[in-house]
Amino acid sequence: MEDTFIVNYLPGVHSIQKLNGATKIALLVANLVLIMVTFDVRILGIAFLINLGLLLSERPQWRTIKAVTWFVVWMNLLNVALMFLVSPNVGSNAIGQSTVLFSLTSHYPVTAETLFYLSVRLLKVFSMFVASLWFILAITPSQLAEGLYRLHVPYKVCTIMSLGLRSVPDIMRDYKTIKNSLQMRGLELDKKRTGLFKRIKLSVKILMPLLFSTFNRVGTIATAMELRLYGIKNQRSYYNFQPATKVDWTFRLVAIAELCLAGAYLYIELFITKGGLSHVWYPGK
Amino acid sequence: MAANEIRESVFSKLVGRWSTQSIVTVAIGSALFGVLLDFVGIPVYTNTKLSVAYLVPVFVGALYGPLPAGFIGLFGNFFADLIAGSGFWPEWWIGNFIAAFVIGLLPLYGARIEDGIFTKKHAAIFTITSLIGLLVAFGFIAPFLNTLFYGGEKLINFAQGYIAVITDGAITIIAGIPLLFSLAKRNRKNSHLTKE
Repeated sequence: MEDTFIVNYLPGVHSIQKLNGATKIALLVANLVLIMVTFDVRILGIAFLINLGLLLSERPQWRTIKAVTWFVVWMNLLNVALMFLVSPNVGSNAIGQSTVLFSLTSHYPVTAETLFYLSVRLLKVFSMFVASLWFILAITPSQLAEGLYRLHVPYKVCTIMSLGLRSVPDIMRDYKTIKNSLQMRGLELDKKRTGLFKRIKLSVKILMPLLFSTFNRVGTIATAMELRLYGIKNQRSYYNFQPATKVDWTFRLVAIAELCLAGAYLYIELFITKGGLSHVWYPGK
Repeated sequence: MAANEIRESVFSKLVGRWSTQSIVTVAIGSALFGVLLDFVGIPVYTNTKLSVAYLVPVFVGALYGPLPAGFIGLFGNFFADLIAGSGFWPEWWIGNFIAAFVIGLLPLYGARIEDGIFTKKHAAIFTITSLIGLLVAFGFIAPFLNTLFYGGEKLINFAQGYIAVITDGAITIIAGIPLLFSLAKRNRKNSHLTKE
């Protein structure tokens, strides 16, 4: 659990990590919107490169992100393979033409369009992954709360964000303690030795003390917050507020440009070419 | 006047209790939901796991009402994505919000856990509403949005959704109903009233 825990609680040292919370959130939202609306490999390629650049600029430790990267790669390769198995003509149907390269059996022709379509899909999912990853590595819970507050999200929601993320390590520690103590009493949680149904029952058994120990904390925290007059006023200030610098404004402009690109693409697809959201651009068509 | 009062009480039951306490509950409940979704699951299919996380909205819905439970689904899934790092999937946040909201509708049909009221009738209604909520959220809305946002094969996206309905539904009902009965029993003891 600890080796692969990627949420940061202290601000990092690289320039992306030093940005204002609001800038990071705006940049992430712009990137996600851009990736979501389009199925055009040119735009997706640009988005992927931008996000990969942002991720690499943080110099992530390969040790921490190795597991999740392999997980995403294998899951999506599996997903794409399943897509091909379920409907081998998925790409040809989406693009509207069919160039058979070779056939595995008579049922499974491998068409150039399907290969193209599946790789665009992979690119889309990987862009999504890379965008999420740089954001997670760049932000701290307090910055997330402060940034959301700057973006006019009600501050009670911001409190939920920072307080919730702050209590994640505590809950993980409690979970481990409870699991260890139950194992010491002789509960077998090994995958190989117990069946699926038994393991479900055991995880419920771990959950009960975890639920009570977690929610017992609520009263203490709520009282402490109320004693400090939480929720008395309609607005609040944050300790980690940092004014926007020139770098911040540059990245905000990038975010705005990306949103404009997404909007323009959406407008063209919906009203001019009438291709719809799932329209796939294909070279030579 | 009376109708107005009833409507108001239904509205207040839907919104639930909002105080500092419920904000902290949602925050910590979401963190718990996220941790459970990520680490305490048994993988079944590509992105779907048999997860006990759904007991958290059952618990919070019983004590605080549907809206806090729904927010636990929404923020909890966001936290789960943030901790896991395998990408943000907003359509599942929306799906989880709807599912957790419907699961948390307990006070609306008269199951008042804090007063120790939870009968077999309530358990039956809970089963039906939870299944409908999960079906709407993961059987229709989340896969529909997934296909809209990411394209791909409808059949696979919907199959993934239906598997989520079955696994989450099974956990919610098989483990959730005993949880609710035991919670109600706990609170009944606290009332210090005996039947004579």
